[in-house]
Amino acid sequence: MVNPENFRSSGGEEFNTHINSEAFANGVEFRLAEIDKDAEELTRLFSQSSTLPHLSGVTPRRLAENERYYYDNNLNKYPLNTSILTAEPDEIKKYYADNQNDFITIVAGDSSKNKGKLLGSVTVIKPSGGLLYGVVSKLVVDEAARGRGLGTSLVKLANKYIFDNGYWQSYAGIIVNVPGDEGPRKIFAREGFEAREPIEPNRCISWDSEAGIFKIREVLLVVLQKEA
Amino acid sequence: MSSNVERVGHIGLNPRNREVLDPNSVEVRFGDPMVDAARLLQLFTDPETIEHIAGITPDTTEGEIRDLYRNSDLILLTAEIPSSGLIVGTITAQKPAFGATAAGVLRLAVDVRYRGNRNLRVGNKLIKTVNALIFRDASDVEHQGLNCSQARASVILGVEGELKAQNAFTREGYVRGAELVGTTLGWSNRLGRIVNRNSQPMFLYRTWYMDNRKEELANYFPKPRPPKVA
Repeated sequence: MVNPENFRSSGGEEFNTHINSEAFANGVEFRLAEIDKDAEELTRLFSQSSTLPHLSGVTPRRLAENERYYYDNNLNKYPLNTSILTAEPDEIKKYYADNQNDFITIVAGDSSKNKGKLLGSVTVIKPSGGLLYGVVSKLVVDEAARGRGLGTSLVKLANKYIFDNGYWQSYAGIIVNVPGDEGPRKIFAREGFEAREPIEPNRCISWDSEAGIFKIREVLLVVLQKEA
Repeated sequence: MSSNVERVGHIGLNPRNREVLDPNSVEVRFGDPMVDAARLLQLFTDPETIEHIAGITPDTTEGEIRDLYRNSDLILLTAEIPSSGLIVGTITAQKPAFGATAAGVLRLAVDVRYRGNRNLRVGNKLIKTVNALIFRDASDVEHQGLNCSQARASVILGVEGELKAQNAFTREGYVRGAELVGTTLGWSNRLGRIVNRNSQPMFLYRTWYMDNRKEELANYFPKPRPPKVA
């Protein structure tokens, strides 16, 4: 069996040091998430109405049995057939505990006046089964902290983790044709990700904050190749 | 050679391994990775197969195969000869990740002695069956499918037989996506070590499947695993 350690240029433990050295000039500290401490804040970030449509399979509240559906653009209804994550602290803790070997989460903490508050977060899903690409996922930024380059910094750090660990590509799926999709598109383009056209229809579901339902979404895959 | 493979001789393959068994003599069932690991290891590490399965080396152990399947998102299917219980091929479906509606198709492997048999079509049956599992309605209580909008397979490039592997999927309606560069670790028989390989993503869309292969939903759903004989 392939041992991924053989392909790593530096270990994950060193990464914490790397990201702490990337401290933001104006009171932001980047660190790996400590889920017991950060679950409440991650819940708050995930639950922002402007954020939910960009997160695959995240719902702001527990769904009753008769709500377990998703809808297409013509509002045809389909039974929910995929796992979903409820943005509640206990659910988030369980999700992280169940998947702790499969991904890491980097958070941007407010290091000035409001210790413990999170300004943003990104998750890197590690490759498995002989694959060599990491997936940049669940990029979220506090609505009040947008426009300061936090999202870009989080993506940079996610890439750093992926490439420092010897993986070859960084991958992300951007949910498009939802309000605000130009934000992540700009961030990933700025970081050198190339779009893999065509946009893939019916690729995932995400929450429609206005209608309060899950809708089927289109996704643009973007890829960044490790420099030779 | 393992005892399982030796048993092939007892079910009457002729030396050219052609059209001996009738097409119904191979069934695709839900597998059990904990029980089937030894046979999966044989299939995956066969020199003609190993280059096509990501992350497998000749040193891979049974325990590591079990570890690969500890992820509850993976559904193992096996093609078996019911009379002997011999597994002659396998394929794996990966349930969609959080919020995703596309399922993965992984680790297609067919015993080399059963390949190219136009009567049996083991690989073809495995692909048809995994497709039925992926697209079948989840609300069908008897056959709980994954009801996905898309199936996604990935074929390792730069290895002998890559085109045959791609054709096995395109025959069933899969279309090629953009090639992925260097994203897969795979064994090289020639170099005797792991190398980075490119891979070819292949997509099958539900709309195409429903327009062209809908009848397979009923005919190809995997059969339950038979109860263990004491």
